[in-house]
Amino acid sequence: MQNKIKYGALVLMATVFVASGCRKLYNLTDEKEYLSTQADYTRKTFDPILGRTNLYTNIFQPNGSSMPMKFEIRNPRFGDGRNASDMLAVKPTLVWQSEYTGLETSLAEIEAKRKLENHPMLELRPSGDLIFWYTATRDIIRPKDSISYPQNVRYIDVKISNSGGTRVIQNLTIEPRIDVPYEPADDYNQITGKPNTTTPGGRTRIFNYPSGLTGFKGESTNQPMDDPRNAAKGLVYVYIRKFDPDPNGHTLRFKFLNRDSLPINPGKFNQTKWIQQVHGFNAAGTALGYTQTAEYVEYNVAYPIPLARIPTKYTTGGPTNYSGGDRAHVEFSYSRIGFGNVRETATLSQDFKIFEKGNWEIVFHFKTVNPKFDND
Amino acid sequence: MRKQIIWPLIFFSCILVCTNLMAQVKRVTVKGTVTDAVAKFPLPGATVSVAGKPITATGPDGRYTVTMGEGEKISFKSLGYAEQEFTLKPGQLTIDVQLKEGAGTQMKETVVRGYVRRTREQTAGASTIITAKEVQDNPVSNVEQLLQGKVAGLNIQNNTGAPGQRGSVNIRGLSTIATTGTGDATFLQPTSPLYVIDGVPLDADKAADQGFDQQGPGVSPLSLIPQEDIASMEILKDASATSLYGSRGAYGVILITTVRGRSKIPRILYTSNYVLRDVPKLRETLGGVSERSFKIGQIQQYGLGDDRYRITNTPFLTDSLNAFYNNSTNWQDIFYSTRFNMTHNLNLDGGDDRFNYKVNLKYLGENGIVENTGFDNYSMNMNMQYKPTTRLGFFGQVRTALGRNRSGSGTGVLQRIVGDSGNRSTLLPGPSFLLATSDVLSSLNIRETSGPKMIATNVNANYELIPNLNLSTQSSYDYTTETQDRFLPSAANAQFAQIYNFYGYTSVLYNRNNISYIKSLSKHNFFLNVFDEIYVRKQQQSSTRIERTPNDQFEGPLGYDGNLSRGGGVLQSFFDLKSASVAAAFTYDYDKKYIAEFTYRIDGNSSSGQENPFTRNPSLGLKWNINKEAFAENWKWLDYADLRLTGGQTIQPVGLLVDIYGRYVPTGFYNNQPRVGIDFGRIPNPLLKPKNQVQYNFDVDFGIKNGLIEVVYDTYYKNITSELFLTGLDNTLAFGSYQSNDAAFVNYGHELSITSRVIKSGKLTWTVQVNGALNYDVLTKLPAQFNGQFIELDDPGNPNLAGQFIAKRVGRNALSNYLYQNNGVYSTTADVPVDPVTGLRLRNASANNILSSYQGGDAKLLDANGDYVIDARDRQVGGNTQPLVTGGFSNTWIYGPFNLNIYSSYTAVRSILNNALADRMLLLSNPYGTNAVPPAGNLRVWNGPGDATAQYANVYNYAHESYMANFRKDQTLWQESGSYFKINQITLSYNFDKNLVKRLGLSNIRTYISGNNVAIFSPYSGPNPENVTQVGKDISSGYPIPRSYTLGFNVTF
Repeated sequence: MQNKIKYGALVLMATVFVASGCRKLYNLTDEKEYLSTQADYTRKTFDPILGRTNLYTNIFQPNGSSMPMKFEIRNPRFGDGRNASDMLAVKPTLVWQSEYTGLETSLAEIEAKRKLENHPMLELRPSGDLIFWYTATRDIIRPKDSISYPQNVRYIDVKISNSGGTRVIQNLTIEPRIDVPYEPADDYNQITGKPNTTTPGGRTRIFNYPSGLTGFKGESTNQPMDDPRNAAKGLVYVYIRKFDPDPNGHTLRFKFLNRDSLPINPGKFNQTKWIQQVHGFNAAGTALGYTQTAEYVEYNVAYPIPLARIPTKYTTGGPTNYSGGDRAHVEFSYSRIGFGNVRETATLSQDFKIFEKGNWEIVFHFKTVNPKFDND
Repeated sequence: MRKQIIWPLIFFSCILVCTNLMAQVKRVTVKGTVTDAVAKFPLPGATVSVAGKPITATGPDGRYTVTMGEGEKISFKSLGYAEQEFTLKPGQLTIDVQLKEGAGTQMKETVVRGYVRRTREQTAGASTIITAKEVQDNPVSNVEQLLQGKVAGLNIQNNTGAPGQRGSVNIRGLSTIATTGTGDATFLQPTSPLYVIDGVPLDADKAADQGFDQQGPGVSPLSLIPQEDIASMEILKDASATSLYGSRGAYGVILITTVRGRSKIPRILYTSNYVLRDVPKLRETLGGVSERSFKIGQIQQYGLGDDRYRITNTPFLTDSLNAFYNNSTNWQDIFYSTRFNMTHNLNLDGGDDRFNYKVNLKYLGENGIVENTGFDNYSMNMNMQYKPTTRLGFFGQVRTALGRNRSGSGTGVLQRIVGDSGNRSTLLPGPSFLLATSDVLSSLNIRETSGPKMIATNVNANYELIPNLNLSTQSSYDYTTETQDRFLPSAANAQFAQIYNFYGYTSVLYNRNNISYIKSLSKHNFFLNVFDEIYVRKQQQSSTRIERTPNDQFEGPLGYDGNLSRGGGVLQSFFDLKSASVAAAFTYDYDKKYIAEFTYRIDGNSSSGQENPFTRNPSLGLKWNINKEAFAENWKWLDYADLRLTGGQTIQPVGLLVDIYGRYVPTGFYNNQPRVGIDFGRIPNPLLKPKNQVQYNFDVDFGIKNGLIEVVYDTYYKNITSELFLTGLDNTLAFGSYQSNDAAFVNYGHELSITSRVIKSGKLTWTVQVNGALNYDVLTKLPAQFNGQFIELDDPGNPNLAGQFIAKRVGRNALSNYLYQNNGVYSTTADVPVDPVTGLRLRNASANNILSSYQGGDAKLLDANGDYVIDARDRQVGGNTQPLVTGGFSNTWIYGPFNLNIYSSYTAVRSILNNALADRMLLLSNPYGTNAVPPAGNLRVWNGPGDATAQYANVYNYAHESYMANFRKDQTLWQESGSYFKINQITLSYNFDKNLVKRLGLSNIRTYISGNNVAIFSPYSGPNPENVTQVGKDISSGYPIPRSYTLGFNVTF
């Protein structure tokens, strides 16, 4: 009997030994996620432009650390230690939920692809990407001055963690720059937000010029107007401005002014395919379309323009410019019979971006010489 | 069986009692030797009983001396052998006994511990014996292959079909975590078990001198041993068994005993095999016009930009009437073909216990299924044994072998050119001297004479100084030269003929002197074995390459042109190792019931550095033979049962001298003085420690019902510390890297082996053997600065590098993969997630290009970090490149003269990377290129929007693929289960009727047919889940494993 017990105990011991899970028995280290000691931000200073969404990608080198990782903003402060958590205020923000294609046929269809979500103005993604949302504007966040004093520089620390551990990366600096609501913005002082001049505080203004000007002839000079910066050939200024302070506006107008600053009838640009210039809709927003008057052509649009960096027929280079989509592109043209019965086509083109919602107009001002529309 | 033994015992005991009452008879001293009837080796520990009373046991050489009376009965008994009884005739003073196998096969075995034979019953270590029967009938160039699936815990993966090459051999899990090479050519550092052939240790990794994939003319010395000449192989697994072999036994020890003369009448045994090696199924390829129309169709459907226009500018596609492009060449057929091979073996032996001899002559020809590859081996092995008196014995052996290997344009294991050439477009004309490109010609026209020439001598003498005190000495000297002459004609080498020469030699001098003593004091048995060992190994290799020779006719003698001469001089494989060791083993047992075994070995090694040249390897083993206990007496069903517990440490210097002292190289001249400076590649580490391995082992063995079922269960824990780890240094330092000792890992697992004689009735016997091993390896330590993870990047400075890399993470299996997670295929473009910030679809790392965005039909890769960009940071550690479960299953049926064996093996829970499939898919990504078109066939490729269950992305959209890399290799799409069940071998043999054979004047004829590599069952999508590299990559340039069919004869004259 005793032997039986002995034997039984032995078998039992062996079974326990086998079944108990040797890993536990041998006290082996458990697998953890990996957090590299060299994981770090490769970029630590950020100067986002207010009023537009700034996304800094590929700025965090995990050095093989296990993703996803948790990124938390810690200790937002100014250089002098003041609290700078104002930039973490949560705002309703438009985010994409499906892809913009440029083929949408109504304003509602575009809006259905975006939705409002609450996001802090400054955010970190699980990849470490830093997002400074468009909701931060100059009235909430004080932009960077021409001289940056340490007490005005914003600092954050970033705590990164996964199950392998935690680290804090210190002193990422953020110095937001003043909003530049449109591009090209040569006429816009990017420190003060005032009209730009050749020297600080000077009186000589800098203007925007059209991206392309071909085939125009001066009405009075009968010379080609091929240099919009040349007063003798004919200056052409481009103004991108709001014609109405309504912050919820969603229209875009194109206007042409002659040397007397009187509107030229857009109908004179008789070769223009107006419907293909801007992804714009009729006044009701229900179908692709525009409103044409003797003074302007107006589109009902969704801002910003372009909506996303996706090449469409409304962007520079069109949909087959696969790496494009960065800027909207418009082309206005007309043709006339030139000297010797030659049909001459004139084209005025403009690449642009508008970041801020509103009622905007883009004005082409033939400052010194009027273009010639009549046949020779 | 019990009854058979116990009753005679009682009977003889009665007689014993009576003898005292009888009149005194003449007493004489009788001597003799007890040997195994088949294998001829002496049986130590056999019980010698006189008149039924156990008197003594045989010594390590099987000898005994008893004093007994004339006419008394003497009987010999050893576990597992049938008892034999003799009556001493008047005047007889010697009785030599040959015991035959009885019931219970496992415990009978004679095992070798520290070069001394012991019975398994009396030792504690874990080992398994493979008999000659199991490695015959299936001609292979390397007998190691045949061990696959036969021993629990011995993981053999025959991962290459290259003739004469070795697969990977691991005893009890992973031996090292060090890998060499990168990408597809990542190999584990070779860690072969130590092979001991007739008492002489041998390096089996000969072929790996120049890196695993850089095969020189050397072949594994194992390939030079004829399988017909092997009497038995023993695989030692635990510390108690291996520690006496010292450092070099750290990865396990495999002992090979060759055949001895064993026939009183000289006889000739002729074995001949005729082998057909069949090419396995190769890739399907679209040929000729189907290839052309496929490519054009692909461009028409998916072309971007001016792709369609480019067709016109590609005569290869359009100029179908041009004879150069109007072909349908089967390129794979040019390189692969079925081969016919044969082997012949002649074995002459004769003699008795006093004097016996054996000569074995062998020819093995193995033409590889890849053109221009093969291995031929001629060998002659001789040995003789002479015992002028019972106390003195000599054994002499000479082994010679001549190998000839051809590796074509590849390196043996890898056949890159062949692999790539097989991917050529079928539209191109087949090879001819003027048409094919030079790489094809280099495979077909290379001329090579290479191979080793080996001569090994071995002399052993033993003398019994006083009874049971044995002295023996063994000396051996092996000398191998390897030469290689390779000639590439000019057409195959960019218009200039190239000549490569290689010469190398290896010599091993080995000496061992042994003293062993056995003493029995009533029930206490003592055994002591002390020996010293000297091992000197020298190796030097040199090579030279003349890039350009004057013409194809000029092959030598070679002049010297410094401008065109490459390589040359002594290679870095230079070796000059000296080691001296002293070892002792002490065994005590009480009545064979409780056994304790201690061993201790000190190795002094020239490669350990000056700081500490000595390593100490102790071990302890305990064993309890339960069946000897009184309470087990009545368990008639029990043949034997025991428990064993062993533990030990093995310390092994693994660093090279250059790791310790640094490498010094000529660094040019200064002031006309030649300078020698240190090589800044690696900083010397004089404090480099040897690798330390501590192993514990617990076993249960039992056999029941007279061999009905025999079970061996082992569990072990092996902690390997001070593993070498090459660490890159900061680029601000002068040196590139240094060898540290800061890695450690653990192997633990279970091994189970069950043998059952299911049917034993009349003429039919059916034996089943199942074994399996579950081996876990866990990485427990990395150098501290890595904080628990290290990815074997090609360039440690660039963590974003793409490629398949080995990940080492503490706490998980030591060699994992580092891959993108593939979750299928996007059914439609709308399914692709959109970045809420930018409004862009999930995209690839590359630039701001809308084409880099994913669309329907693209691979659904996991965006682990949530930045809507698939880039290097999304890779995850996963998978296990090493198999978790390995084992085998064999069946033997014997029915009269027929004998049918089916050996099979299995491997489970392993991830392998199907790179061959990835390469194949990528062939479709360039319709303008001159590559073949393999049809995707039955693979689940995305077939259009809405196909949500596809496994592979739209492989035909070549234009999009260039932006997406849907078929990138570093993704889990290719990581498949490498589990398989393989029928290794089916052999049917027939013994001709004795009378018929006698009439022909022969003594035995046996014929057999066998199939090798018969079938493989696996969920794997590639051709063969075993034909992968050691880190589990199925590469298209690998050497396919052929299926072979053999017809063989054994004839004894």
